Amino acid sequence: MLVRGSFAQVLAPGVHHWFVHFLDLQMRREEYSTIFNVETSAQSFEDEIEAAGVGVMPEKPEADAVLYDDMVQGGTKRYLHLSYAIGSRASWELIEDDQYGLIRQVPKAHVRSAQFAREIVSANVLNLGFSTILTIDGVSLFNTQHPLLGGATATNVAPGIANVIFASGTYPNRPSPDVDLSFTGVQLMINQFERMPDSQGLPVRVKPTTILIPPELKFIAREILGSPGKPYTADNELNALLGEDLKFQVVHYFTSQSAWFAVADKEYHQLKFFERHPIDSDYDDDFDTRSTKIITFQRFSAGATSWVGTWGSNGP
Amino acid sequence: MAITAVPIQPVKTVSGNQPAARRFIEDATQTFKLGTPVAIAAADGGIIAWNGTTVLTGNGAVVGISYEAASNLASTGLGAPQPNQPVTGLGAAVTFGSVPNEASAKNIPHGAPLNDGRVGIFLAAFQDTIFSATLGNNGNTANWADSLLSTGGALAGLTIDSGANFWYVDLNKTNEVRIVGRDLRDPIGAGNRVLFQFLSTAIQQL
Repeated sequence: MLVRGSFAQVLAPGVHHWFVHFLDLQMRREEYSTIFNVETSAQSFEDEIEAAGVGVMPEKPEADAVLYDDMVQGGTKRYLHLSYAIGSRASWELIEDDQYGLIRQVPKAHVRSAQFAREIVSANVLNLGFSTILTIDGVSLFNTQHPLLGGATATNVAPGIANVIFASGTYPNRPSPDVDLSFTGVQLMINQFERMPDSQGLPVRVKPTTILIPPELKFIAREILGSPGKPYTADNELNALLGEDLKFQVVHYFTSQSAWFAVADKEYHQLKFFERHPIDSDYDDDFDTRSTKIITFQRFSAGATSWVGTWGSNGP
Repeated sequence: MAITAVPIQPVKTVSGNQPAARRFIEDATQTFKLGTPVAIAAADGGIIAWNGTTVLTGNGAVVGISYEAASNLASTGLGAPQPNQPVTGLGAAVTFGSVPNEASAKNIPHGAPLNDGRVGIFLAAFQDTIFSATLGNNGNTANWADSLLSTGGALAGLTIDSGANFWYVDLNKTNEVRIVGRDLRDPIGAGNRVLFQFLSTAIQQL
């Protein structure tokens, strides 16, 4: 509860400047929406279901009957929207005596808080993608063995993946062991992207375009991706990564200083942010005390339907 | 006549505020119904059905009345979101069939009720919330008598009925609740409902 006793300095005029963090310090530009596919929802939750096509079309020998194959229905990913809210209270006397209009600005602090909630919850989809964030196949978002709906048949079909996969019937989007952000690490990531198949083993068009890193890795990222020659060697070789047209993006809500990620363009991955209720503020006065209550709330969910088009390494 | 109770529900508060409600992680394998007195498991903090006998102010005592049924979770708080995290579980407690070649994937029936690993309860604390429940006496229906209020309210307990498995106010006990009036929605007669508050000596304050 904000009262005059706890904010006595707003009661007298003459302060040259109030250095108010939520007014004078700008928040970082929105980051989650540059990574996640942002959609709206009008329900309590959103269900997404996976389906695989058919396998390889085989030859039909003359006069022989055609072989029939079936689509495969996969599992369900549910996005359960959570509510987020914060409130503040201020006495009627404080609001009326505030010489700077500061207390009336509280909703701006709320919005900043709400925006941070969106960023951190979304970033935690990646931060926790090595453990508790699961995709539609029931395993962690970044996994060395994502099971394919087509099973071992799919990995038998997929061209050239024998040295990429760690188990038959699965495909990785994480190295084993985890690797630091490095020239060879980026090459490994690109190779896993290049061979990425669908659930029946048919290669899919998916290309990493953005490396997502914590701030601590931006210098390495700049060296690896920007050096005209192969970084860290004296052999004057070309930097082969230049032709990959990769860019990096610093995400200030990543918690690890060594974990790094790669994503394809949005239309090629299934990282999703559902907005159920936009950031919204409301206020009312308590009849007896005349105190003002201000609340700001929102509802959203974030997650990953599929691992395809994403890649992550939890550092070494 | 053997009693068949209806779910306990909050009907008003002394303060005039909304009944105090919170959501806690649900303990593993719980199957209690809506309107059940619940307690907190000492081992992991999950909500469990009250055992019907622990009348204390500490652990094991009633903390409130569930406002939704338990979901029979495989583990305590399965999938409950941690601070600043999305729901990490399935988002539903009901699945069917299996997914080919993906042992950990689940089919959620479309429209299946949502589940976040938690269960909601109306708090018994503060003696603010007034609940309504069927009146009974040791397994049988009982009639409300205004004379029960002559001494400032009748002391009673809570017992689960043997038919519907809902809980009723049991005049055969005297250690859990205080009856504070008749539920005016019911006609006078056997099996009607009464209003009650929890005794401060018989609940765990939260």
